[in-house]
Amino acid sequence: MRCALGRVLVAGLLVAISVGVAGSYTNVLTAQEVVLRLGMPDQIDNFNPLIGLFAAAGYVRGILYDTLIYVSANGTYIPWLAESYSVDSEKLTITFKLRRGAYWHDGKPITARDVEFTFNLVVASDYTPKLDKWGLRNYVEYVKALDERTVEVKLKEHYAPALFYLGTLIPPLPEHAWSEVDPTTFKNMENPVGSGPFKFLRYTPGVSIELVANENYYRGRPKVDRMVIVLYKSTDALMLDLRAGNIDAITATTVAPELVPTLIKDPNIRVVELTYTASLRFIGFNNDRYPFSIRDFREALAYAIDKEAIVRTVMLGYGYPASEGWIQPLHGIWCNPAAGYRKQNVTRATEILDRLGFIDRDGDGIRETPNGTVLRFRILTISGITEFERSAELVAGWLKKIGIDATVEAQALGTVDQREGIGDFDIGFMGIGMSVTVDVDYYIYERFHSSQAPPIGTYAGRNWFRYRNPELDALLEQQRREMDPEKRREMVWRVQEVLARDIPALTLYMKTALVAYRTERFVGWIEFEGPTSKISVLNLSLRAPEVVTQEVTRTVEVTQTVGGTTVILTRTEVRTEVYTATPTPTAPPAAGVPAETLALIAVIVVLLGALVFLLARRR
Amino acid sequence: MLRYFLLSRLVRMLAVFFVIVLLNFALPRAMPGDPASILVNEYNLPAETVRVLRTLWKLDRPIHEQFVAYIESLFTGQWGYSYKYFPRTVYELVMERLPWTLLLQGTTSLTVSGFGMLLGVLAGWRRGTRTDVSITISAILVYAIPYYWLALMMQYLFGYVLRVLPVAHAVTPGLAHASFLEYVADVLWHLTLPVLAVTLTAYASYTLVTRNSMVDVLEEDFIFVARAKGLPERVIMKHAVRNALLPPLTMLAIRLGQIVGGAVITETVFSYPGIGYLIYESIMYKDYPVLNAAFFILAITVIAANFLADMLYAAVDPRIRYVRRR
Amino acid sequence: MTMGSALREVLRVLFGSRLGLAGFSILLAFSLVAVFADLLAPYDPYEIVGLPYTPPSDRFPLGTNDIGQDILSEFIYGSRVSLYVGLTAPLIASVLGTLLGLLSGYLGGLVDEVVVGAVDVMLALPSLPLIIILAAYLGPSLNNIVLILAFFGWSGFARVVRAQVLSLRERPYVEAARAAGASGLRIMFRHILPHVVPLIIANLVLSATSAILAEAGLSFLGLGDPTVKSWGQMLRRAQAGHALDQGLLLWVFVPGLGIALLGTGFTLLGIAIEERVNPRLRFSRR
Repeated sequence: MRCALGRVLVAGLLVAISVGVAGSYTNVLTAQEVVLRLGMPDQIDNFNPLIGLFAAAGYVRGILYDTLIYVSANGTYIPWLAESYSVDSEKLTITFKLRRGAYWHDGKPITARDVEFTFNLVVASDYTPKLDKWGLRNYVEYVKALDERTVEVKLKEHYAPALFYLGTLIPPLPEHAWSEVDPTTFKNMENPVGSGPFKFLRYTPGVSIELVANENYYRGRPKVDRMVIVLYKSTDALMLDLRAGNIDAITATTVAPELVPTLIKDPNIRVVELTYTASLRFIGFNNDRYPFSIRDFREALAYAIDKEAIVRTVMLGYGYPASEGWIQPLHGIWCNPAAGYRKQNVTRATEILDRLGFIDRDGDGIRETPNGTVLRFRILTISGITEFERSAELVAGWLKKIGIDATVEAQALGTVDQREGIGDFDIGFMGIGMSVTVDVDYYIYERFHSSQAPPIGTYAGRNWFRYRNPELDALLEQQRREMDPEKRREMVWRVQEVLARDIPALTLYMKTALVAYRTERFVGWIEFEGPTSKISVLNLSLRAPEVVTQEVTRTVEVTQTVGGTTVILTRTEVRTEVYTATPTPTAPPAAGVPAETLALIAVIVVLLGALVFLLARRR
Repeated sequence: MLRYFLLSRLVRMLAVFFVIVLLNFALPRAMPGDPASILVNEYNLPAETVRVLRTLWKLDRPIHEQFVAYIESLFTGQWGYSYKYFPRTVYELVMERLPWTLLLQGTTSLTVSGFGMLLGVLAGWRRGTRTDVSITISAILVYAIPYYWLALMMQYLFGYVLRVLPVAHAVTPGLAHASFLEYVADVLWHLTLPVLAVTLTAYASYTLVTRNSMVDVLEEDFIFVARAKGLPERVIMKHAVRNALLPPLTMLAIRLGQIVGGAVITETVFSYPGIGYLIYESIMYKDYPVLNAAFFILAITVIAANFLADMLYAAVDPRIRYVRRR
Repeated sequence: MTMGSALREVLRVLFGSRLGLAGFSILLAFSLVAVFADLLAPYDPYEIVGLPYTPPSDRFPLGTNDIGQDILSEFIYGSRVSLYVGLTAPLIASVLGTLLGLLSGYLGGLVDEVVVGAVDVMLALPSLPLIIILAAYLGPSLNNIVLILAFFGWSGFARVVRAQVLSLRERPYVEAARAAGASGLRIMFRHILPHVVPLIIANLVLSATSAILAEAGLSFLGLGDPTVKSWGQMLRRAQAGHALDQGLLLWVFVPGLGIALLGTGFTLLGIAIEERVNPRLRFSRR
């Protein structure tokens, strides 16, 4: 009886496991297709462009949905789904003219009504409070479709970033598919109706996302028939597969600097430093806490730190010291070259501290404030992120050298967030991603405006440094409302001068984004835009079939001209094993268990058998 | 007696269940930090988003309302949406990963306990011989090895040097399998390294416990009686083993109760798509709904495992009977 | 038990069995390394002395880590952390567990019910996820980890001690003491405790291994204090820095070996003591 119950339990469990595991089983690809295989981290939240957060899923959302304007890697706006856009003389009306012959993935035409519907969803619907993360509703008067292809957006007041948000951030969505759903909880993971160059085929959780070429794409059908985006639980496994040639490129993740030497040993792998995006690392001072409230004290700390050394040591050279004006060289014309950064100058740092009266009076090697408090601080950072911990350690070391006892305190993400938010910290080491494709207002307004800096104890937004400067507030407001790019640039430059002078938070270095791709299967990679960017993927084609005999290997040099820029793709050795006269069926090889493994398993089984035999033998 | 026994078991199980359920509500909420602002800062979103997300996730409600909602969600099975993976449902996320954890941990539990008990019985039966010494000494040596370290070493040997075994994932990523059979082979192939690494370290405690228990049992009177009666050694061994397996089987039951929660490190090292890493991530991101569901499942498995342990006692030890003989 | 007999007992454990001696030697070696770390380590483990990711060389016998600190020096200083955790966490757990076990076993009744219930619940709790939550909540620090491990470790001690007390309570000499009017406290601590001590020591030494393993595991997961040079931290750095991918095998191998060896030392000693306490378990017949 008890046995029967046990058997039922075990059987039930086994069935549950096999059903669950078998759910991930994928079907066979059709042969003879041109398949581009990308690898990316398995971070998929949803395919809803209005609420998605993750960068990895964001890549897929970006491929599925076209925006009205595409931001090129040098920051220029390329009309994309919009054929053209214009701003009227009063700078209050933006007009988008849609392309002819653009269709949704289900075959229905993309109309101005869809654009109106989408923008209204964000700025003027029941869902607005949950969708309008950018406060656009405060600036948009109305959105109106004038005809089938023309949309007019009327602004309430001058707002420079409006074009960025409407044109490049919010992709038009099909009204016929979205009018009945709740866009705040819509996952959009089953047959999303997109507008981009690739259509959604299927998502196999934890395994892959497959996209197929959009036959009716208004910019011409991509030459790649199918994109298989393989999902990886760890970047280590992803890099191994890139090296093994199982994927053609990586996306939504970067190569760890220490892995570059291993990767470039393979002549078919190119490692590229992206120019349009990088991550800023900085230390924020608690400007409401003495002595961080003293500008000169903050400057002394800035002089104590050797930014170049962090780049050398922690980033192994794959980065650069960051401009102290907060806006970085990658932002192109928006970056004020005069802002620059303070090179390490320990004498200068100690001079400033001496002048401020922060002197070591009791001879223990640590300075005290004029009223006798010891300069002992903690650098708060997130535990578990090696780069942060290491850089913070280095910073602490340099502060010790000028007589400030600094130690690193690593805490869980939530703790750090909370403590910085309510101002319970001295120095916080943090990082943010930056990209030229995002309007500069996004990086400076909330970060330094005094409206975002409530008193200590109340959770602050981005300005957790609690920096308040009426002069800067005025500049930040003005640049937002300046519709003339040249005048606005001047204001943004002034903002950077103020920030570099006051150092409410000290920028340390930029971590460059390193990506990698393989060169032997595809030609047409546009490194400048990012090898896996939409523009680059649209340009990819299978390397022309080489008529080669079995013995011949030869070298091919490829150059590609795109928009005036000549991109030289690497010298590549063409091998007979890889290329045949007809396009290779690119379905990945079927799984085979190598003979060695079987042998290994056999050995283990034999060993276990021997053991059982030993056990059964009489003494 | 029987009624008392059952009642005390029931009380204990309920206590365990409620302790887990309460801790799971209280601990993450006592932790500093707010799930909405964590995500907003992580993804560098506008500050306004925090308020938006808090309303959306009902975090602005008073704590007692949240508690009622929490208890409700547990018992109705309406686990709601994950915060980090919003708006994917918790059910979806859990069901995507739970089978993998059960597969990996189930297999290792079987191999670990099987291998360990086998060696332990052997050592105990041949107490004092060279077999005993070598088995026990090697178990002692292996006992202190961190399994994730052995796993890393094996990854290096089999994955990087010999390149014969996959070092990560549950199946070859993105691979199209020609048949279901090949898929199964692929899954088993990926299972090899994690199972080996854990088995080769964790078996030791089972061996030591089984051996000691075996030695104890062999000194008991009934064995002497059996020997005196001239019963064949095989029969004596059968009786001895039956009794000696109680302690290791209890260990196994406790292990089974921990399989959902104990998988974090193995899954991290092997990038296995199980639930362990999901729990770890949910703790860090304060993804309450996922934590709620995960700990509910934890509580259930723990209780089921305890129940299983009791059943095993009954099965192995004829002195304990819950059901009256027919 | 007099001091002399206790000492004799200790010597017998250490030198009476090869296991005990082996365990003791390992522990002694590591303790010496820990005490004289300043003299033994070629560099300050916090100082950046070379280029990052240097393979082993004459200057750096085990190479350098991800920011150019000497791995050998890190390893030598790491022994302090593991010994500290291995000694303190079980000690705190044993004091707590012994007290509760004594009270529960001796007093019985409601106290017993409560303690036994708590022990049962503790043993059934899924410890790892709760430890992770606690470690994340209390913040990464070595002492927090020690306290957490102690909190999850007391129940084992309490159970063992209670079982022992239950059998000792009925012994004639305890009855005699009670008849002579000794107070409950006196009986517990004067007459029962000394007989439980050897058992506690055996368990104490044995659980040092699991404490060391647990600390290393938590550090490996990133829940330890990153500024503390522990072997688990070293493993985490090696893993995060793709040591194996770059062929820097020793960086991973050595700290793990340290954990395994130190753990083995404690286990061997613990088993030697356990054999003295319960001679039936002895596996080499003499």
